[in-house]
Amino acid sequence: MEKYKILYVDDEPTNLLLFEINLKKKFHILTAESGSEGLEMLKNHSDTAVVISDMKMPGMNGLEFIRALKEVYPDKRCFILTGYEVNTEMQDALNSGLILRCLRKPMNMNDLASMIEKTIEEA
Amino acid sequence: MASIKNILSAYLDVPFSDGALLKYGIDDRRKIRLVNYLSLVSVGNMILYVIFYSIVDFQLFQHAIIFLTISSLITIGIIFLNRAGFHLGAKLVLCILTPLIMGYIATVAFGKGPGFQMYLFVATLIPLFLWDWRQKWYPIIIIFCILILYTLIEFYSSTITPRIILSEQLTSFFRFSNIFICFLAAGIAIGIYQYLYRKKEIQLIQQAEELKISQAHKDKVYSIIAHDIRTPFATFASLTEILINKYDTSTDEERLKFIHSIHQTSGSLQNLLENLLEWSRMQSGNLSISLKALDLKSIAIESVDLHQELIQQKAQDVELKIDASYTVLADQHMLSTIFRNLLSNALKYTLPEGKITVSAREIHDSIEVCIEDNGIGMNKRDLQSLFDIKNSETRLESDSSDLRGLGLLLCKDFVEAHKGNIWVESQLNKGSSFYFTLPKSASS
Repeated sequence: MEKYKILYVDDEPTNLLLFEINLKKKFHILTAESGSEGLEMLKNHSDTAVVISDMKMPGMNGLEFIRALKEVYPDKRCFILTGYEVNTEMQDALNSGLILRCLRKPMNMNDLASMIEKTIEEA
Repeated sequence: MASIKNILSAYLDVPFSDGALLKYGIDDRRKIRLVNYLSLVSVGNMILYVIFYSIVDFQLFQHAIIFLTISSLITIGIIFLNRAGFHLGAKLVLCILTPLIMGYIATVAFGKGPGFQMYLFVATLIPLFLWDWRQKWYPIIIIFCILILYTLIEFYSSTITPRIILSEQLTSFFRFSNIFICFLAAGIAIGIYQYLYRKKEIQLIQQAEELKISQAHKDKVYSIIAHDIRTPFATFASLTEILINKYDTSTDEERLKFIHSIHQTSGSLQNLLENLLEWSRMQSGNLSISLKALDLKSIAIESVDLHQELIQQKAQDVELKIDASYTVLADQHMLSTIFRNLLSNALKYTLPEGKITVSAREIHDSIEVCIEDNGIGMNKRDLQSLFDIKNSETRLESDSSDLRGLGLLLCKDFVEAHKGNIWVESQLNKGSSFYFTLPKSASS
């Protein structure tokens, strides 16, 4: 069975590396260092199952990136993975269904993997 | 003299045993002391009357002496009321009894006169100093009572015959000198009141400002601990765990990549701790500035060399356009920190193969340095909060304002320590230019 594609966007290359190493067995991992790079990546991989983004990034922040991608792919399932407290902007995004989850860094990779699997099953 | 002063202040101040210091604010203490001083002044005034009566051969001298002795004892009692902790009682006695006694003495001796009316007017001012605006009913009621007293005297004083008939000249002298003294006293009182009020207001504004800044500093430190320090440690833990668990199954290239990541993360963590340390030194005032004539270009080169690894990794182009003759009057350590932070900031927010230009130009007595990049730039919101710790709302919640973080706040503090300016011009997706000015060295 072909692995599901997961796109992870984070401006910190080490985080991308860690994400890839930990989850590459279960999923096909795509990574991007910025929102614009992430949008570019989605053009070639429109079958991506779940998009996970860091919140604080230079240029587009996580929510801006997700808003932009939802214009093209309104049904894409998105998470925010942040090192900070959940702020009101994120809370609004959760309530409106823009994002499905708001996760805190550092995240246990096994928990993250099972959350992604659950989200894909529910789809 | 010193011992008299000690005894006086020991008796006139609030007794500070049993945690009384916690109970009374500075304002309360001042008011209590003021009550004590005023009661001393009243006693002094009564002694002057005794002297005056003995000189002018007052008919009721014995009665007057008894009356004045009792009055003096009551007035001295005010100090003891204060010492016993009955501050409200002391104030009321001072404000109600003292004008009554003085009014009686003056009226019996001289009959009603304009000087006496002025005297009552001053008596109405005193309560305003003894209670603050939150307890405004006390002065209002006391002033009202004094006004009633004045009205009564106004209506019934015609029945009082003055016991001391002075020559016409002396009476008018008393009259005018009383008016003069009362105007002077009222003027001084209002002046002091205004001055204290203004001073207090300014002080409060300053305190609020300081509090806001210190709160922002605390938030900033929490935010750094919560995120900027915790994250790299989590990274270390994960990377080393992978190295341990997957050492045999990973390739040399992969292992090198992990080690490289650890190295890079430790570098940025070190930089952060360096900044944090300097910043807290700066905040606590433990960082002294030693100005020297410094060669601007060589310090810029040093700073670029420090970032060589990252520059090569991202294949960025750093160009230095600084005239070798430029020398600035600056603290070497601070100047290096400014360059280090602005350069690492530019490198971080410029995409691979981007270009960074460090240039300088002479403007009158200062040198303006510009670090320009063609990176991702900033939006207006980020620009506004960049150098302003106070307006950054709650740092823990903010999502982008401290992206560039502590380093820039440090640059701002350091540039301002040189009486220079720092500012930034930026366009989203086009790039940012950070400018700062430093004083030119006289030798340059």
